[in-house]
Amino acid sequence: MSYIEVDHVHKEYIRDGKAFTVLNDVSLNFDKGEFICLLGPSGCGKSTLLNLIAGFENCTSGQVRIDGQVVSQPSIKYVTVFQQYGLLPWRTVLGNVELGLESKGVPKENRQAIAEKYIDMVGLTAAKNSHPAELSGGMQQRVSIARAFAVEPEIIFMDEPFAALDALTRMSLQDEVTKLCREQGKTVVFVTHDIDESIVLADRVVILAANPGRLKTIVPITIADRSDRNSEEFLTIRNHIFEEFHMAHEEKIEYYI
Amino acid sequence: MKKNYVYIPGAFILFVAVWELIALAGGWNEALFPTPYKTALGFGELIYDGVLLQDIIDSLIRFIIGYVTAVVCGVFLGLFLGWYKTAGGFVNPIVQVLRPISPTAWLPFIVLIFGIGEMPALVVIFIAAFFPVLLSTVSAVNSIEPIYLKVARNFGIKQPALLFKIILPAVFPRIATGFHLAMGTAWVFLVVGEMVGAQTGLGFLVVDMRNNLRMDLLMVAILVIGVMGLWLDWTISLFEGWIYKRWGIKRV
Ligand SMILES: Nc1ncnc2c1ncn2[C@@H]1O[C@H](COP(=O)(O)OP(=O)(O)OP(=O)(O)O)[C@@H](O)[C@H]1O
Ligand SMILES: [Mg+2]
Repeated sequence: MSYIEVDHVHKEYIRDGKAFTVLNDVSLNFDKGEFICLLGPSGCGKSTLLNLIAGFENCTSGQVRIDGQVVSQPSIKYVTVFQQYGLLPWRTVLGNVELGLESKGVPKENRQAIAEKYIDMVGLTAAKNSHPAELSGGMQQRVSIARAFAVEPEIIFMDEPFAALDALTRMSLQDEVTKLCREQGKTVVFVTHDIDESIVLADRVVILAANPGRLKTIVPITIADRSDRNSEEFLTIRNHIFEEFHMAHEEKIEYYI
Repeated sequence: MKKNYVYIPGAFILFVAVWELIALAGGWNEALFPTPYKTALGFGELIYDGVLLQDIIDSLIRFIIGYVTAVVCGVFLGLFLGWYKTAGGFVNPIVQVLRPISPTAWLPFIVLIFGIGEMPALVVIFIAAFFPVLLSTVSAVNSIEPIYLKVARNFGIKQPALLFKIILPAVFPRIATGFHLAMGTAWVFLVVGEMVGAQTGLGFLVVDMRNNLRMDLLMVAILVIGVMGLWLDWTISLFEGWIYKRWGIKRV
């Protein structure tokens, strides 16, 4: 039994009175502590799949199980980091990070100390009393990451968390996030449409194809040094994924013709 | 906005000049249409008596009681009706019918129910302020950013914490716009409310001076009402600006 089991998941939405398939019979198994990237063209159902695993939406048929339990709603044990950060603008950085701790019932005296620890971990101690509006996009996403880690979840879901950031910020956050997640042994499911990002981050890259959204293939990443984005190994893997990705695209085009 | 120190004195001079001209052109008896000078003397007289200050304070107290009650009721009912869509669906048509009715139209019934004296003014202010607050709260709850609710679900935040920690603060900037609107409307109706049996206040001053044929003092009362309205508006604008800044919303 795997830690996360996506078991024959099928998802339909109703559009203009007609049902259309967003995900067709997707089955996947992830192990505890794995870093998984979901990669695929826009509209192939990556976010939908992530939302199903995280419990924000329910499958039309099939089921998702985490640790043997069927997922039917979100839980504080599995925290999602969104592309739009999802910070509460009326709370300071500290207040935002304390949010999850409040609902976990952590006593007031301990909350601040815990929150400060995680704010320090993402390097924002100097900004802990600032409000989100005063921070750059990269800093806001750091707060969101600190908020997720602070409740000590077993799994962290991320939906294109760095897509809105500039290239340099994105790269440094990629490095930090891999380091943090691996240090703390988190299981991560990370949605992206950036091939390099998936290679830098993932243990395995799950490639999805569109129309209807379905599993294309799974590519394990076995590179010794990921920080060198121009190494022989990196380029080989990138080409391999690119081909798979490209084929996924072509099928999509055929489908339209 | 930068040149306020030029514009405001300029506007003042312009206003007094036009007033003086109208008084000259009209050629009415000074007792019927006071000149700026006569009004200024009247202003001094009312200040010296302490009458004006007392009336301002009484009006402000009534205004604040009526307005704050309306804001609290409007916000809570609005949160409820916005969140529980079915209840909102039933109540919405009623609100839409009641909203366009001027609070003064209700006066006979208000007097019947609450008697004359303090209450009519409070009730009229309440009615005037209540609907803008209610409607802006309902529409704010209906258009709350889904991501806040998603985050709340993820962190297991349930009612009543959901209401106080997420929904209320999330809709606050939009409600604040309703507060602003409501303040303007309610101040207009304060005067009307105080004409029904109140024994103090700026509205009473208007009625009293009219009955005593002291048009200079009537003019003072009118101008004070205007300036106080402006001041209230300015205060709430500051509050709104602070909210917008804190929430990181750009003013359009
Ligand atoms: N609530 C919804 N109702 C109807 N259709 C939806 C809904 N959510 C998503 N879809 C549709 O499902 C498909 C997959 O959407 P999804 O957001 O999962 O794609 P994605 O792979 O995350 O794309 P992107 O890379 O652009 O974020 C799209 O065609 C989208 O229009
Ligand atoms: Mg998406």
